Amino acid sequence: MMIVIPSYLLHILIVICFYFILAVSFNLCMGYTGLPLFSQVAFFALGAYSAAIAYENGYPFLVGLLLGALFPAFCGFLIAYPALRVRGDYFAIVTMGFAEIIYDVIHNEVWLTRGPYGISVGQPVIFGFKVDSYPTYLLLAIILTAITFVTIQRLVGSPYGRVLKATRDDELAASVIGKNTWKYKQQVIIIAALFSGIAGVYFAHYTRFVNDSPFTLAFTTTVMASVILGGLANNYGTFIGVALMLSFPEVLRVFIVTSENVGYIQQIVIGAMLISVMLIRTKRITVRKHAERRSMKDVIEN
Amino acid sequence: MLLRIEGLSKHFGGIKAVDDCSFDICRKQIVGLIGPNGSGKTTLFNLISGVYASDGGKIYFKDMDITHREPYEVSTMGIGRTFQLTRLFPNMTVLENLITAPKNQGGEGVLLGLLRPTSVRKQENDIKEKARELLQVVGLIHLENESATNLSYGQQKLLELSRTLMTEPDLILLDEPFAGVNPVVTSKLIEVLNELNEERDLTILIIEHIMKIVMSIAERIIVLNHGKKIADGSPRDIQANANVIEAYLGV
Repeated sequence: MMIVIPSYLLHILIVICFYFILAVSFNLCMGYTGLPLFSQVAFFALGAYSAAIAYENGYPFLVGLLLGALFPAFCGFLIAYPALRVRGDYFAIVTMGFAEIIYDVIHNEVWLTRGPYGISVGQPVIFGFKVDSYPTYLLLAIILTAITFVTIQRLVGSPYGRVLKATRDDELAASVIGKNTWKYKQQVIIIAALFSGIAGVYFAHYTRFVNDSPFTLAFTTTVMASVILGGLANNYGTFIGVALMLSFPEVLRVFIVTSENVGYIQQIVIGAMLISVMLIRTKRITVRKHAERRSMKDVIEN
Repeated sequence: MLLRIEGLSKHFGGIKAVDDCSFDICRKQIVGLIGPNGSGKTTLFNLISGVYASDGGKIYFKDMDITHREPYEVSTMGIGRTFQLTRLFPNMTVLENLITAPKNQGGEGVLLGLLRPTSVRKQENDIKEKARELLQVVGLIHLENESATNLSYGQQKLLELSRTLMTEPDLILLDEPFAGVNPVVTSKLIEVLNELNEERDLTILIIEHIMKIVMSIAERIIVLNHGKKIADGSPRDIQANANVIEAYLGV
């Protein structure tokens, strides 16, 4: 017997998947390395447009995927030079500026991107396997998400990840024990850009149309909010954060609110959720759990 | 000659923090660096370790010019340092603080970190073993899984010193390692440092305000005042030096 899952539900799962790719990459930067990267939407857009333009020129999906991963990664490599000259809030501003520039380019360079008119993109075909229905799209999304998650999770758990955490905790201390913190920060931006680009490729092929409208700052803030909701430097928490962030408004839509004011209510609820997270979790960065447990034990024993 | 400083200068606006300072340090020496507050001791450390860029002069380490090198390069060449106010990785455990320090860790590259072949895992285990041995020596082994921020001040000083030692430096710059540390821990630290000095030929340059400690640990003392070197000699000479008594002791 076939179990039929409503495509609406599959759609939400798909959206959760590619937002999760973005959220995990953001977490790599912000949660593990302490870099408030505000330009993820730019890498996402670059990935989407690379795929769209590759498709338009007759290249297969996998070529678009490769371009859509490598081109944003290369842009990440370049943006690191000006952005890493400054720290903290200023880094956030520089990367936000980069995102605005990319948006303006997409919006205005009509010869390449067709601006608001957009580019149509076809369905992916991978080695003869056609991705043409919700279940197959979900499968592709899950594969890409799993690759991203496993890669980043393995990285942050390795000695490499330890250097990232050291850089986040005290960059000067990390550099006087011989860690080239600048290089690590640049690499992290490149990795985040690469995976954000992959999410963008998927997005282009899923919505089958890209124009400039989704690639605004609001997109980045949704990703950030879901990471903060789930807890920085915690990729499992990030998944919960993304799932909550994206499914809660849908729940609202179904049960409570009429379609005219669903947008406002969503924003109010998301705002309220963020404020409560900030108030409840005063410690922004999760300390390793067993360390916490151990200190509690010590407190009790003493 | 391990370290050679030639006419080193650093200005902050109108203040000459370090002013045309020159001296040499030989391998295996333990040298005390003293001087009144604001005499340029910490600035000198920041210049040697590459944290500040100098305004003039040269720094040579193992006959190589390291004057305008980045801190990580200086560290990789074999100069370790601690800070006056300890700088740990507060959200990492005590053990993690230590195992981050060793150089040339294969797993610290993107690819090997991702794949972590057996050789890399073996190296990680060796480093952990070494870190645990060091924790045993400094008496922090029972705290290895504690997050560093929960340690007491003295313990944090010990941990920072241990982390620097994990980089296996040839020269270590200690900025007031005993300030605020209780006498028991202090004598333990001195013991550890003397041992490393004898067994591994570790060269030590140490800033310390408590005269009794400096005089006992250092075989040679350099005195700074207003960024200038005003005396350089054995503890006995320094105690008798009129310049030092005037500038430093203020009598």
